[in-house]
Amino acid sequence: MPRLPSAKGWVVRAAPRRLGISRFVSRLPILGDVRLDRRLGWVIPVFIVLVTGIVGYNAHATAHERGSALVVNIASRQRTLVERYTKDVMLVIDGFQADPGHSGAILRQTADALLDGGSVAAPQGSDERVEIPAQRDWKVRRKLDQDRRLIDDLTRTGDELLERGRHDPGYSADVTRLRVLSAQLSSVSNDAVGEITRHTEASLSRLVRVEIALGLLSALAALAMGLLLRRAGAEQAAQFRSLVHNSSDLITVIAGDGTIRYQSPSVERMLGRRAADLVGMTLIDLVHPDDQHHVTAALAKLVETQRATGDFECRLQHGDGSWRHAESICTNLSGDPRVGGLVLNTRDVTERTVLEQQLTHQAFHDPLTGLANRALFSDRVDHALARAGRKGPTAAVVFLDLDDFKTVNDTLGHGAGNDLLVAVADRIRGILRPADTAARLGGDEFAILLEDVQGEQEALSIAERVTFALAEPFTLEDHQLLVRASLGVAVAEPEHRQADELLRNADMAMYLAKANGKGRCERFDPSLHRTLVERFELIGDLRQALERGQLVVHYQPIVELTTEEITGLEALVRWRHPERGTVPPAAFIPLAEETGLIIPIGRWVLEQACQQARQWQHRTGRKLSISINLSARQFQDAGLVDDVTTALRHADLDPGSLVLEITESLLMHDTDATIARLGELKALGVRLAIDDFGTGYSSLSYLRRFPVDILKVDKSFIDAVAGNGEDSALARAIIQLGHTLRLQTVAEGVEAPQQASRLRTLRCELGQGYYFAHPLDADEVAALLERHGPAVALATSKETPAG
Amino acid sequence: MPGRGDGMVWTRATWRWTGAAVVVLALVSLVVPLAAARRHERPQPAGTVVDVQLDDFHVRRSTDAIPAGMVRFRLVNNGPSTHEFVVVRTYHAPDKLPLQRDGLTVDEEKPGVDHVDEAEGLDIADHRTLTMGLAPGHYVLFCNLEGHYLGGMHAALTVR
Repeated sequence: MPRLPSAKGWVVRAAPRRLGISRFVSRLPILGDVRLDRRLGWVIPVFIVLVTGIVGYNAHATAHERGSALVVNIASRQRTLVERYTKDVMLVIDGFQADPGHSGAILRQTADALLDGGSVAAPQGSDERVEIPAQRDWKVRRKLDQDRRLIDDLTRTGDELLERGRHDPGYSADVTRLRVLSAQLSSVSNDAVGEITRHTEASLSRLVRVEIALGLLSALAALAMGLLLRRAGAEQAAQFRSLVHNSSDLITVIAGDGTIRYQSPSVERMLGRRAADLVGMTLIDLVHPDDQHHVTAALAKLVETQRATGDFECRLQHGDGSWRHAESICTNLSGDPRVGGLVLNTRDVTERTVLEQQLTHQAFHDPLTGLANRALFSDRVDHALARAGRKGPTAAVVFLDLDDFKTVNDTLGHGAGNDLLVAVADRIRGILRPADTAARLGGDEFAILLEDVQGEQEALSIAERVTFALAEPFTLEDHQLLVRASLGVAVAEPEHRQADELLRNADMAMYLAKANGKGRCERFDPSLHRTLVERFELIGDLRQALERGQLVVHYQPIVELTTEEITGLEALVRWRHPERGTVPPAAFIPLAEETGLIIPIGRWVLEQACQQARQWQHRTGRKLSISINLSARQFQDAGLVDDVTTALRHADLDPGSLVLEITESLLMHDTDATIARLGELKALGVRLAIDDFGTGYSSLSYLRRFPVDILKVDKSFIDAVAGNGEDSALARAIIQLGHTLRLQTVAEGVEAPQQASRLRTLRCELGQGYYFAHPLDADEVAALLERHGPAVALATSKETPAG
Repeated sequence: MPGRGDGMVWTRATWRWTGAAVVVLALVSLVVPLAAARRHERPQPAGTVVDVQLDDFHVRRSTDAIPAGMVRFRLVNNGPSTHEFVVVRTYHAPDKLPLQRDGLTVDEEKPGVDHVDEAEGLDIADHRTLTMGLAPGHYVLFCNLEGHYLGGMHAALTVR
């Protein structure tokens, strides 16, 4: 149901049900844009019918008038013919030459034609014949009928008179009768002519009246049509005005020189300006300076062609000074006299534009930190590479990866991790130059594009500034957090044309920094590429090593220092690479740690060592302990406790025989999760040892808080234990600390008898090292245990190959 | 406005009925006075009535003798020709009235022919009433158009 505008506002009207003719009429092309309603649809056909009627009636009246005039003419001729006939009869009687028969025949023929219509001789007396219509008026017909009867009487009387002759007794009476009939015919003919004339005049009078009536009706119809057309036009004009006034779009008419000639009132809503104030201004005055050029160009192009249409976007100044984004469609109607200018239909697209800008920003920025994302960063690097010349300033990329960020996520939660990323981003942003671009590539990876650097030194200098910026502790949820990052720097070379290549180089340099101990910055060197390729190959081989049985477990005996009896063994994994030979643990354990392969490898070692220990216990009947190293990643693995439980159950090993060695750094984060995990392991009955004690964040507090059973004193202290230096004192202090805390102490790396002797003096309980035995494979350990000999004998005899 | 809300609602049907009533009232107010006027115009019958039928070419009257006094001739022309009706007092026989020099029409000015009254131009189907006072005597009723009288269009009327 259409909503139509009315003087009282918008009302709902039922759709007019139009008949076919009015629908047809309302669509006549001559009406142009005017849309007729139902009333007007009827006026036009009425008008057409009336005009057609007038024309038709006029033609009919003209024909009728002409026919009537002819009939009157011919009827008038009858009187002359009667006189001629009478005269001809008398002439013949008097002996003169005449032909009354011919006159009588014409009389009769004419009388018949006048009454019933037909062909008669033309009134002008030529041989031409004319058709006259039958008379339909009853009065006329009666008179003409009488006329015909009288003619019959006349001609019959004439014939009788001619037969009688002048001397016949009835001659006189017949002559009198002939004269009387002639007079009667004259009278009747005149009467008929008069009647025909009156009838014709009456008909013509009716015709005139009808024509006047039709003319009046036509005039009325034309007037009504004019009024309704005017009303329809006025309604449409009002509707158009209403649309223009109430439209949210701006409708502007500008002259060829850009002067505003008309402005719709909606400009007040959109730009906070009064329409009247804008008329006379130039449109360009409202356009943002940055947009003026392309708007001017677009308008100039449109001015050249009539009815051409184009569109453009620009910013228009609001009355309050702000800028609104607008989209305009412009049509050149300067050739239309009703418009005479360029019509702009302008829509406020500010919200849409802002949204687009937001979406664009989101598409190219990291939503968490607000830094550029990988796509934008790659684009910027591409542009920087394109600008960088072969000489002079160049571009560099710094790749930054936070060290141990996973630990932060796992211990403080992802919320804190995100906060840290934001804080890191802020610090990076704070030290960059305006032309540089910082990006977060994902996770804890950041990258910095340095443009216009003079060389590698400048890039390294900026990377160092980044390192310093991150060195300050971060405060997260009341925690003071020291964050380190590994950085890699790559400077663009002339052959670099792709962003990916430069990014990869910086990534590899960062990788080197990680491999070299983290918390440092490395620069990319072309040789590094080969090194890293080899590293990746090694990782690939390591993934298959377990399946292919290339990993083996070696065991290093742990002896009681006073008796030098073997009380336990430390399990150490070895990789026998088919091409590289034996790969040292220092070369592949970090890779396994980094790739997560340490989890399955550690689980396998755990299973192997437990089963081997149980087997040796069974054979020797001695309660040998088995020590297994746990990496940080293993310790954080949620399946650790299950793995230990499974290994113990599979091996049927007493949990008290299993010693799990963890490093000090693992205990660095004194968190509830760490305590809980240690508690779960202790609950199994296994013992916990702190490996390499004294090298890390040695803290007396965690020795008290955590359920530790054994301290393994690092080899660096043992090396000096036999001397008198500070390190010797430290070794003594550590051993004394173990005594104080009632912890068992194990001296690592004992390589000389003096060291063993000194350790015994210090009442260190256990020791391990090359002095007693090198790491041995399972068979060698079995043989050693079979002999029941003291381990020291093995060490001194040097029978054991290096592990 | 008082009564606007609770008064009669002028629907389209109401307008139509009101318009029809106005038209009927207008017609009644026009027709009734005309009918009344016609009744007043109609004269009351007076004197002797003689019905006369004219046709080609006879005069037929309802009576040939009437008393003297006011006479109303109710004329009807059956046609088909146009006729006239002439009343003369004469001592001539109806078919012996003196003619004019053309020998075709009665000379109404001749001695012995006393023209009383006449009605002219009676067209076919015309009705007309001609009233006159007739003294006792001999009268002839005729049509004096050319040839009509001689064609037999005359009749005698005696007034006593």
